[in-house]
Amino acid sequence: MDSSDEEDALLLCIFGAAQFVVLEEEAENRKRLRRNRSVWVRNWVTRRSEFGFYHQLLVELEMEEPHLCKKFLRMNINDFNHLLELVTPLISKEDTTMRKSISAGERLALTLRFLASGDSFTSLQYLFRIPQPTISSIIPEVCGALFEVLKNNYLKVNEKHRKQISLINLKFSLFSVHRQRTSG
Amino acid sequence: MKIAEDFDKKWNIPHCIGAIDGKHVVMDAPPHSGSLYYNYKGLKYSLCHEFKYIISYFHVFLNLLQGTHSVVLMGIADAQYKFIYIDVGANGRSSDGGVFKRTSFFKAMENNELSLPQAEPLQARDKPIPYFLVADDAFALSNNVQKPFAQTNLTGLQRVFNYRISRARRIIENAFGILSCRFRVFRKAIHLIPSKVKSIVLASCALHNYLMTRSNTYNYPALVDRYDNDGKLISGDWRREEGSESSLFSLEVNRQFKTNKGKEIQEELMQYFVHEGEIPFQYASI
Repeated sequence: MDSSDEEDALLLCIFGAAQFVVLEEEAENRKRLRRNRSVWVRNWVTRRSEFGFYHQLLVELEMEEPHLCKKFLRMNINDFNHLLELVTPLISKEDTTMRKSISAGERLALTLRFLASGDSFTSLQYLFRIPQPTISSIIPEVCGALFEVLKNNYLKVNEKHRKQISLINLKFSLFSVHRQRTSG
Repeated sequence: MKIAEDFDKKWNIPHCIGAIDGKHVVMDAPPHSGSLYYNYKGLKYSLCHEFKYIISYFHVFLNLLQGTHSVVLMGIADAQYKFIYIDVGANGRSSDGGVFKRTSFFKAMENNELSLPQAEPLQARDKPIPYFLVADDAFALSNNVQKPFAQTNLTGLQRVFNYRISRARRIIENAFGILSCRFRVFRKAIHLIPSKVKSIVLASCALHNYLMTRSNTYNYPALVDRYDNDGKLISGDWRREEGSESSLFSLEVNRQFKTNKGKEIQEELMQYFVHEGEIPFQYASI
């Protein structure tokens, strides 16, 4: 009886180990399967500065139909420029000799449009000529930057009492760590 | 404190430092999260409480009951529909009161670290009243949190109290209304992982305040709930839009132990509302 129990346990162990090895191998395979880049930048993406929304239509709207421009960004162009000034140092990337970076204004416009419309990243990629994977890294980054620059001036209790409220930093450390409820 | 003055002037409620409420921000199920972010929108809480353990394994089937995955956005608004405090990130399973208890604001309030003004008697009365928040039913009553009575058969006095508190509480509801009306991301389930959802929510709340301050067309009077001269309620435009409640919806009411905490203050406020702090139209609308 005892011996058969032990045998069972041993079998289970072996089986488990074998399965583990198989899983590991699969993971390895998946890594290896990742394709190398076939092109550095897709052609339709490189034409962004000529035909992309930010460089073409937005400029037109700004000149001809300011109210549409406002609807698009959810704010007028002055507010937009002011906001852009604030966030530029946080979100702009360096140009390289290989390719130009996506400008801060473009990043901001994209993010505002996302928030205002709730369109999916996939549908935004055609408008802005920025591929969807890039969008998915831009938007959270810009959102974080927006919050950083706005929290001090626009999310506060009271200017006069600012100094009195020693807790202000604590109060705005919004990502309070929420322990996951273990009991479910 | 300026906010309290504003509240008194605009919404006739003294010593109020803000209106608090929580909303679910609906998102698609995050990968490998099981039922952590799941909320039981379609279920009665009591039922859910009893069978929580069993149910959590079958959350897939609960989709039939219209539950969703969400993170909780908790906000406190001042009298101008601006947020003065927000907390995002609690997973959708928690209840309003539970989330509030875990925020830094609550901890600071409990330890009297908010540097609120000292409790003072209301105009022409004796009993000192601390500064407080107005909340809805999902929160626990305490010295710093006042909420309407929940029962159905109330005395006239209690109904006046409810009317006055709800008037102030409407602010936060409207603030969320404006937010979801202006930023359409909140209109449907967000297809991102929770950490990204959090940064989106934070950014849009910050933008909300930014635009409330700088733009005069971001919020127009007819967008929010308002009262005519007789104190009758006219609901705001944001309510009229289809699906306005679809993504940001309220948290469910939690079962609570009754305590006497805050009762005295409730009593005092009630007296104040019918005596010194009376407003002429309060009886018409109860």
